[in-house]
Amino acid sequence: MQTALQKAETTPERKTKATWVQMKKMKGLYFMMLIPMVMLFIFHYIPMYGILIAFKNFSPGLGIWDSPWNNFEHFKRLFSDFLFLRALKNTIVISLLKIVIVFPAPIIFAILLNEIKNEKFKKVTQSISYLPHFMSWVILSAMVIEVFSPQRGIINFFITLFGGDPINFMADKTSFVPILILTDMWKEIGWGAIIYLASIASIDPQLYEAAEMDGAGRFHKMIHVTLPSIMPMVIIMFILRLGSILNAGFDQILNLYNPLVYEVADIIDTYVYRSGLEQFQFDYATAVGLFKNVVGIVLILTANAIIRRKSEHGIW
Amino acid sequence: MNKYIKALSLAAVSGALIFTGACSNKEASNESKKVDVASLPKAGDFSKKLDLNLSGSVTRGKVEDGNYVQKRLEKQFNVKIINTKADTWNADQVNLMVASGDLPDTFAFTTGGKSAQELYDSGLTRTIPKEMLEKYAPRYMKMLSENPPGIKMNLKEGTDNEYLQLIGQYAHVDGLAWGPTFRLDWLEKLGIKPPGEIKQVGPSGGREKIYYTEGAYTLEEVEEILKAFTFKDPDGNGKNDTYGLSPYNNQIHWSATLMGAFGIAPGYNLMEDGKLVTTEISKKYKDFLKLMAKWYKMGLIDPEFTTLDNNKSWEKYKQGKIGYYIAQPSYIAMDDWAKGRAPQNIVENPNSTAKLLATAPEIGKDGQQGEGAYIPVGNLADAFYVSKDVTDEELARILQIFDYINFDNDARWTLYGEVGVHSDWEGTPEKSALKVRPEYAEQEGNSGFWAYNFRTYDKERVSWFQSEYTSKVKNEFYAREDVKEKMLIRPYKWDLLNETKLKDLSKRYGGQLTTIVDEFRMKAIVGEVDIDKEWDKYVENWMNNGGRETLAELEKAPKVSDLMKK
Repeated sequence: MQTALQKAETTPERKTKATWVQMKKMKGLYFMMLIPMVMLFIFHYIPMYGILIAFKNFSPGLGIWDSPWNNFEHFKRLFSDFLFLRALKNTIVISLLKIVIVFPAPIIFAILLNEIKNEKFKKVTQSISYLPHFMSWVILSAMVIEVFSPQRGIINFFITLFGGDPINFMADKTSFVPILILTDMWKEIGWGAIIYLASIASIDPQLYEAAEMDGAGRFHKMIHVTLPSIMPMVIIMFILRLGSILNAGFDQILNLYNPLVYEVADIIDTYVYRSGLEQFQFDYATAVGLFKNVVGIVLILTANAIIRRKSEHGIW
Repeated sequence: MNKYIKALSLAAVSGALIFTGACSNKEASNESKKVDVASLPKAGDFSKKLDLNLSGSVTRGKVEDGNYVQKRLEKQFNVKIINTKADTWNADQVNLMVASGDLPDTFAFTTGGKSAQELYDSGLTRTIPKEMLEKYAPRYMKMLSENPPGIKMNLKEGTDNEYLQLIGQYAHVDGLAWGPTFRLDWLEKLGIKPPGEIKQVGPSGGREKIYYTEGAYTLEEVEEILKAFTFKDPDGNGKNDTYGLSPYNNQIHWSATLMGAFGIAPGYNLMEDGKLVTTEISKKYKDFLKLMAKWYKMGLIDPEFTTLDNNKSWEKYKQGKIGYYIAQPSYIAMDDWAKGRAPQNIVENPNSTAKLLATAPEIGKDGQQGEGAYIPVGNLADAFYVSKDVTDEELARILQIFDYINFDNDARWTLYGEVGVHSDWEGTPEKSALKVRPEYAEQEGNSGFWAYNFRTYDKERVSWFQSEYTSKVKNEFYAREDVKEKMLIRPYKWDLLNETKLKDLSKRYGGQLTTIVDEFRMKAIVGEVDIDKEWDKYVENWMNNGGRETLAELEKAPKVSDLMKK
């Protein structure tokens, strides 16, 4: 039971005063926080004004505000273009495949890496796995094309060695998407594992000791201690990944695809690059970007709400 | 607390909108004012010093302040030049400059940008009065009148005396831009005779291994040659690892003369069965695709072409497994700028035993032979713009500088400095190319060469950068008048004078039409679609996705034959 005095202590006026006292105490820290906030405002909020051109026929001479409104013409164009709709479908398919296959890979890799006892081997493996991340898709695509080349590629070398006919994997609709998924996994598995390794490192060793006392082996510790401990991080990363579902890997696809695989590989970004940006249609490209962002934020909010309802994890 | 955060966020976003709204340009206007030319200084009167922000048209933003050309121009025209350090080859940079409206007084971008009409409608450029051109740029006006319909091109809608842009003369692309080449050493080994008398391109430097002839093979003969190149082990290594032909996936040049043998050129249009059609939906194009599909099925085309762009294709050619390749005259003459490109890259190594034969374009079944003209009508191209902020007085000075450095051949020093001091003739004086001495920047930098010039070249200017071997093969065949007359394919109609909405339609539908065409072409060649069965569906698809509107608008354009009349 609260006394009258206690009630008086928690009145809003006293609370505000206490907050101000706290803030005054930590004014140095608040000042330091001001710098990134100003940066955030300048570079992330002010440019949002540019979104307006998605609804206008943008004319550089007139500027953003004075360019004429166009009655959602860019959006009407988007959804009346069958190639855009095909690109939307491809984007979702490739992105979902990447979420299902590529997203868990760094988690598994981090858990397995954590189990390696030989520190030297662990570090070498880790460093090697990071390497592809630092190379651009321009370079990696040349390597991928060589590996899968029907004439010089190692895979076709073995196919022909065993009497098969060479396959032009990069021009084949059935093999192109799996190649995208595999090469994306190869490029990012090591880098993606860093965050999970950091998360694993912060697990309280007492949990492992307790599991050992209960008779858990390495596999059971992995499943019942490591995995649940990093689950909040996995969930946050998953929600953030969902937010970029309409980003299926522009650089990768642009450098690897060709007209023979447009049917399965032409994604929103590559199509807009060819039909919008290359022809200087910033307004149209902004409309596409806005559409992608709206889908992304809706997915983030939905996934977050569902996860919050089922567990205590989530972004907010 | 949540309320405060919400209020703060709202205030932040509103603030951003108000702030940036205030920064937008509300004064943009594309109304041109009447110019009183008589009140402007006389031509050659440079008594008042002016500040001008100039840029070149093939520049990469490497120009150094106080360079040689800048100093001389400043002195000669009494101006202070402010250099533009932008890479005109970088589409992103160019587009950003245009989008921000932060443009120099004059500009002519190598890539990206917008059309003259779009720039003017956007309030970024001003018009250039004909009267001022006559007074301050007489050499330019002479060039226009000698190249009809130059005087009528790029006029502002509804006027006959205000130009939206200036234009360049493209003598360097005169004649056939491409021609087929064959591995001559393979032909010899296989016992196949060249189609006419063959001549060496040059005496040394690899040119002694390159030959050319006016003769041409027929398409049937080419097919037999490609078969022999593919299956008769022309490189003698005992393996079946050679191919007749290797196209590339990012451009269509590889088919220039092959399409020419069907009387068509990519991107152009023609009359077929009394109807106006674009090449890509014509029956002749369908026949071309069927031949390529047949060759692919026969194994004459390198199957890897689908994943090779032109750069990778050049590399592949260098490995010596391909027998046929398309080439520009400068490639077979081994001009410096073409080094590394196929097919000349096969003979670059002094130890190479490869030999090449350049022939005239292949002959089709009805005797058609040739390729699309590089420029659809005449030989004028490109665009030089004047920014909206330039005053009449500044424009008068700019036009005089423009006229001098681009159309007075005494201004050669703006490109190569003084011969004997900054540059030397590569071979015979006045007949070969000029080479800048190594202590001076070849372009821009400390010399400032090419830093302020526009891409416009008459025949004399072309000879300054074209090797004497290129000049020789062009004079003797590729750019000979009778060859041009017979072999250059031009579109039936062309909107040269911007009288239609074709540019708008291209902007709206260009991406999807190109995707439809590229996808069908590739699938047709590799046999993924049955051309006969799928053709009507493909044409319908093309029509329904902007093609119908494009053709209807194209009908309104003038005939090229009328435009070409002097």
